[in-house]
Amino acid sequence: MSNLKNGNIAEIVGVCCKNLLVQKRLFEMGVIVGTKVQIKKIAPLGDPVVIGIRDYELCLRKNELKNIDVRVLK
Amino acid sequence: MKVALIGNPNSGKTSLFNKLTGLNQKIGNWPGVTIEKKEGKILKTDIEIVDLPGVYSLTPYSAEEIVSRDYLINEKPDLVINVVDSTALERSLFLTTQLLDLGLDVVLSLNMTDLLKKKGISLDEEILSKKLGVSAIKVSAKSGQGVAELVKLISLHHWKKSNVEIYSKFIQREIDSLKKEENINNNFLSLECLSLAQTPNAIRAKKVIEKVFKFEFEQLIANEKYSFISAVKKDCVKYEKEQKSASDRLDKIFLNKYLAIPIFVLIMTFVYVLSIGVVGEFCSGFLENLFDKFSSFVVNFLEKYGTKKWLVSLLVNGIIAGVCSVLTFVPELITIFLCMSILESTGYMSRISLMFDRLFRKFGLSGKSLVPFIVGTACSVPAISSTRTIENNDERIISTVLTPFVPCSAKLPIISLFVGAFFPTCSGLVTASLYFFAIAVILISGVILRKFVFKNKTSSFVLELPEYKTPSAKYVTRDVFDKTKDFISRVGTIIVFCSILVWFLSSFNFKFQYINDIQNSILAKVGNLFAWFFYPIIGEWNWAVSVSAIQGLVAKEQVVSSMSVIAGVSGGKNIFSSVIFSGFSKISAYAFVVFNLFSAPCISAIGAMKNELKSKKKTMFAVLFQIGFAWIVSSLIFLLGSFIGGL
Repeated sequence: MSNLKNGNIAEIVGVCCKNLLVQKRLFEMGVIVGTKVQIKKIAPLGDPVVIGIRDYELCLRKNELKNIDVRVLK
Repeated sequence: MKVALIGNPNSGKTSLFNKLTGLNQKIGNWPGVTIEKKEGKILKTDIEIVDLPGVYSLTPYSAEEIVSRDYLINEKPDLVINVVDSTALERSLFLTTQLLDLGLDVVLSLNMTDLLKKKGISLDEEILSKKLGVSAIKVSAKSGQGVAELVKLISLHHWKKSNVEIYSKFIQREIDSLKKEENINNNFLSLECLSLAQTPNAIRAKKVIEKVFKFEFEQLIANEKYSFISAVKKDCVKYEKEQKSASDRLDKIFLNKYLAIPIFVLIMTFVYVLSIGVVGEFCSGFLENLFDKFSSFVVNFLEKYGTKKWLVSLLVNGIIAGVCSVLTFVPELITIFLCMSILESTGYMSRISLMFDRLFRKFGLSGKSLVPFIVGTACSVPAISSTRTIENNDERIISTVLTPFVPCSAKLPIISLFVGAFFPTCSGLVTASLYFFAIAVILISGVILRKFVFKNKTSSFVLELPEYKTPSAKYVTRDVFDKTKDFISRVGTIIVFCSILVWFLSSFNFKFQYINDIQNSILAKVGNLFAWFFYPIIGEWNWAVSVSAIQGLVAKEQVVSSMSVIAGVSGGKNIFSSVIFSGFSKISAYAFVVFNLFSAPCISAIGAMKNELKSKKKTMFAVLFQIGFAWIVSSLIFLLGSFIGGL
């Protein structure tokens, strides 16, 4: 997901973090397989990234985004 | 009856708590304002209510989240009011499913429905209530809508008891059988048991589930919960018309690739130029004059009635000088408090975290550390407590140690006094420079601590970005009033006490005789013991500066107060006309201010640090680190400054 560009919409197809606590937090925040996400904003220094998910906005670092596999929809 | 208030961070729990209890707890528009549980009673009833720190789930990640989890499991409240952010319904309901798992009685308080309407979305609370099997009421703490209905429902015990089925049949069967085997009485603990997989039964059940669903367990449970929630949401939420949110438009500017950082610098500079430059220049001179006249009036008045000389000195040179020297800075403080309070409530704080995360990470911190740093511009004590929202342990400790480096409001009198006297033409800018200097110092010490003390380097950054809000005038006024009141009441207690003590020590010698030559006083003798420490910073052997700086441990503004008591004037630039403080130059003034900014904070902040670090040894280490760092940096400034100045 770290390769997506601003405005891209995608569907999550897999989440797999090395840090299991971070992974669990992502699940609980609604970052799970089948969810639609959009890249909404990017921090001025290029990282972290703000994604729109389940009607709210979530900031994640590219490091975390790398662990989220997506299928680009738009 | 006991009622607990719980919800996601920044969902408006504390606003509702204040409305229900008539109390005035601190609120703000960033996650983590409430870090400890707070108790109160619902107005006109006997119902006890507890405000718990905001959490996204009951899985504990950070220290403040454990508070909420433990309370719900151990104290078993009679009812839980689940505050739901209607604009992020799905995420909010995740927590609700856990509350239902725990078998608690839940009432949903649907907040922010006005925002929802603005976005063109409608929410039917009756369908939501039916689908979840719990009572749901639309509540607005701001307008008071729904509050009476909520109180009525609670006091009449009219809430619904849910027996909704969240999980698919197979999973629920496994949960139930584990409950029997392990003698557990609710779904939540049974799931936790499965997740930890520490007993043979749990290991077996987890294996079976993972084999059947071909999914990792945690993800599977999250999937189950979210598909239940999505189904509920689909029935009760209708999108009427899509509208672009105002926050997105504002972020186009405030998070713009090129403009964001200049805008941040501009905002911070503006705050300091406005408060120290404009307001400070205008009000402080006026107040100094006023206090001067007042103290000469008191002298005349007392002498007319033949009051003893020492008593006049105690009142005028001790109490009035000490108190007035600090009070002259109140207008500047009010301005800073006002600006910060507005910034806090707009939602800009989270943007700052986001903006600087990448930079801060390079220095071993995270963007989340910025929140305590900015809160710390008012006072280090709440700022240090707010480090609890940082999940990573090392990062939290580093932030706790570094937060006192931020110029807090009590350090402002020192800055303002010296900067006003030695840099009169550009006071606002010099002050802003000190602020940015503080940021640089924080980053450098972050690197030092990372390099030598905390070598672990993994961290994550999962942060919700709240929408911008218009600050509420009522909240801002209240917040500024409270902070100003705190400052003034400290002047009335600690500063008065210390001023009397300093006056006594500077007016008597070791034989307890009232003396005229301050050089022979107890204070001078004591100060001489420490003067060597400050020699490299101010470039002269000066006991008076030394004792004043040491008093900063009691309260930072006491430095100014002590100086004016020793000089025998009621504050302001006159301090530097006295013989004893006439040795300051531009360079030594700057170096001395820097020392005061970065050396050990006041006793209350050290106490707060000990609370967070939970160890005397670590606290001692932190304080010594701060003093050592301050000493080296300020000595270097003086050395380099004198060298460059001498060229």
